[in-house]
Amino acid sequence: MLGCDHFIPRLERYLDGELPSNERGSVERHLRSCPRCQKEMEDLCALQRLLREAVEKGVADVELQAVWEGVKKRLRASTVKRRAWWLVRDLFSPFRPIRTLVWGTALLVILLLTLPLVTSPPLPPVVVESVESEDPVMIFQGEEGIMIIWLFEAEDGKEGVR
Amino acid sequence: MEERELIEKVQRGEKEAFEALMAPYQRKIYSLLYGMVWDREDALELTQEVFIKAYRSIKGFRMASSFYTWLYRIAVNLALDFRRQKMANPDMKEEIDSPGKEEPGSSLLRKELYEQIHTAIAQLSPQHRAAILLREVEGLSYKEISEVMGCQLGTVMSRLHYARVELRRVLASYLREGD
Repeated sequence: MLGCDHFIPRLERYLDGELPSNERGSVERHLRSCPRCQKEMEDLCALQRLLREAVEKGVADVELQAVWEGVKKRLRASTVKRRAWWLVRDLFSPFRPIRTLVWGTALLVILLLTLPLVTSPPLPPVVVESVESEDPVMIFQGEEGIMIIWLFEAEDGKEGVR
Repeated sequence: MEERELIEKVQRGEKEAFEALMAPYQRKIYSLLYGMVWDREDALELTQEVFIKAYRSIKGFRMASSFYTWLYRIAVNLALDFRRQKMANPDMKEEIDSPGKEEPGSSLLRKELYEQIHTAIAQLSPQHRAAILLREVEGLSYKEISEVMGCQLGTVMSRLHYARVELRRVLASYLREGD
């Protein structure tokens, strides 16, 4: 007849429902007649009960809605960041050579057009000391002392501005 | 709606389906994490981390394993990382090894019992702790625990046995209370 040494190592698996069905019957029969194994089993059950009770106590009145609010907030924030990153990556991705070429050419053209405006010095003012002409001349004096001279071309094609 | 359908929706980027997918597990995940860290605030923070991590990595879930073991694996790994980080900080180490914050209104006897349970659990390694909580509190089978913890069935059985021996040793007087 098998004794406690055989059954005690099987009690945990019996309690956990992991003992093969062909062994369960013999464990149950032994438990009915063995106070030592009954005590062992009671201890295992009591431990299970205590652990569940202690954890359930910490869970009982917890408000998990706040967790969800936090999750949603963080997911929203990460989506915005990811979209911004995708946009930048999309524009400059080395895996999109045609798009990169178009953007690069456009940037180069803009640069070439704006560079002379930025770098070239302003034209020096031209001082006109005298005007001799047979054609009609109109002189305009601006508010800031800027003088504009209009010379109308004669019919025979003569001009006379010096 | 079926869980599989919800998973596929979330994988396609439908955020609304995520909350419905997680609803049956949120309390279970929280209780596992609470048992692991034994602090309500930390457990809430970790629960949030689990959900975020699950959302971000759900595209990699291939339905080969059950969804809840996949989710528990994330939770256990985060709890282990959390403990590792806290152990690296001497002030925090003291905090996690001391009995948890008790709620007002607990009877003195219960308070003492919970402190004792916490002390007993705190003496276990994180792996033994996770194994016993997954079995005793969450009710997972040995096979499911082995999937969650990424170890052999034999390792699960030995971890459970060791954890039970240790817990019974520390809590002996409470286990025999009814005698």
